[in-house]
Amino acid sequence: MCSLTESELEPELVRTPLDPSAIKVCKKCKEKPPCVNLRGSDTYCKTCFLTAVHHKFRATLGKHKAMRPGESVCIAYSGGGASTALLHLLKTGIESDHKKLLFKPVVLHVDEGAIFKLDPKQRIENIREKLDYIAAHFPFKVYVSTLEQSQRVVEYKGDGELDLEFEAERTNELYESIENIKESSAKEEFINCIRRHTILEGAEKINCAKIFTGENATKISIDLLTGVSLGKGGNLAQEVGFWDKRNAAITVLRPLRDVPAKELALYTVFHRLESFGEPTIGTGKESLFSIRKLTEDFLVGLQNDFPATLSTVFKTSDKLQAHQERMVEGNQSCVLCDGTLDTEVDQHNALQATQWSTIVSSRGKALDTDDLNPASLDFLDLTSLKLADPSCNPDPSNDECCGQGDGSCKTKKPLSKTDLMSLACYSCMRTVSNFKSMEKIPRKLHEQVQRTRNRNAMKNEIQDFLL
Amino acid sequence: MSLNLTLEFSGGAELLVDKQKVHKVQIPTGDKVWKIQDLLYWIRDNLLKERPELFLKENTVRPGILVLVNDSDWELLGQLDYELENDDNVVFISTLHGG
Repeated sequence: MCSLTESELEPELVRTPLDPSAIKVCKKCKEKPPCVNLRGSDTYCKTCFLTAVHHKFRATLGKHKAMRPGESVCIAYSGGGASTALLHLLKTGIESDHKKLLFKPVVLHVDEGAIFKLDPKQRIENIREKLDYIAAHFPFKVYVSTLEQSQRVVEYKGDGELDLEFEAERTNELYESIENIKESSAKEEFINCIRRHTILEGAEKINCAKIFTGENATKISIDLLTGVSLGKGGNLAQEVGFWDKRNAAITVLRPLRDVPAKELALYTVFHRLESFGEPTIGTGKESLFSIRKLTEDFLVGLQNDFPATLSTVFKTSDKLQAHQERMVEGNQSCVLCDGTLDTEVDQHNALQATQWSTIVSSRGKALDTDDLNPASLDFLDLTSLKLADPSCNPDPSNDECCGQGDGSCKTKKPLSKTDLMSLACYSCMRTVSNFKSMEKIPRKLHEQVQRTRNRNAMKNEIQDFLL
Repeated sequence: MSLNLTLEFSGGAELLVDKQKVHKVQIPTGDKVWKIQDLLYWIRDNLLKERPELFLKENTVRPGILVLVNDSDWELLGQLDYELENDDNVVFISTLHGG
């Protein structure tokens, strides 16, 4: 077990405060006085530092051979420091670098005011502040979309005219669906899924096959540990890797993933870039608010005393590889996060044990029923047991699928939590189990689940006739 | 005797000080030489409108908040022991709020 005196055993791992009189010159150029201190004791001057960050960005893009000349790429701009730094790095790369970047960035901003049900005028003002800044400083086209109306993507021409209308019904629907979730950790994950879908839809509308997001190394490390805690398993590789290929048509790339948060923040300050941080649901909350927040507090706090922490966690994330199994025909993806469904596994694993205890505890006092009595336990097939779900309509005669199979089926059978859980990956199952009422989930999710469920039902029926 | 300082908050830290990014302050210091440690206490008592524990932890800034004095990392200047001079520019950047 770890002991409190561990730092006495590994003294070189503990951060020692720098002696100000001891440092004289930048480590790289050895001429100018240093102005930043990275990784505990590496001191650099401003010019060398900024060049190094830019070089890291170019190296990440080049190493993965990510872009081809002339391609359009959608930049997911949130307003925060990292997004703005990404835009600045791109601008420098396209205009000033010796070996210029040849692809075409297009900026997409997704407004998230619906989460807090902000006043529409306030939202427009917030959006306009950000867009005016981009239009004034960067030569890229700018588009806006909102979390609740992802199909509506509006171009901003920089002249103050913003043709964005908020539909109160959709805003309320999103707000209610978030309020509908019990735990804050599940809320955060749900919002992340919705945000991802919105950005993907937006990119599709503006004809971009690639998206850049501004996750830095620190965020990736936090995401890695949080993902492990949440049970994301194999899907973690897509969330913390450079490539995110969960969507077949559009790839998400993370070009800033080699730059730590401190370096990115310093880059933003030295280039005098403006950031417009918008609060999210975790802002200003205590560290026990959610799993992600706790992990963040833990890692960042540990990094303070042991500067090798984040880079160690980060190098682990580099080694994760995505499993190629989802290319298999007929394999569905999770309805929330688009990851592989990892719940169809062999006998005797922890997931089955969890399912078993859920079934048993949900039966409550009515435990000793026909299918669950001690005599039949040996022959029990776990997959045939259904969770006792009050919202599930057990009457099969209501289930009259028209058999079209193309999503136009109007079967009115209400959606039960079991339906949704069967289409979610392991960690999203946890999010779904937090839904208080199945009435309040977003319309799109509802439709998607219904379509898949009807298609599966039809497939089962005609199974014997398929060649 | 008083110190004229420009304090800047960014990266999300501005949410703790009334959403105002730049604060030009004049601090009455008397004859004492003020270190950053003293400035932190002053900020806690005068500028932090809510949740001081999100900015300060024990005697110093919370892990994840960077401090720059005149565009130089405070770790190069002695951190809390750096002695403030008139017209210094102190920047507090929060790296915790993503982007």
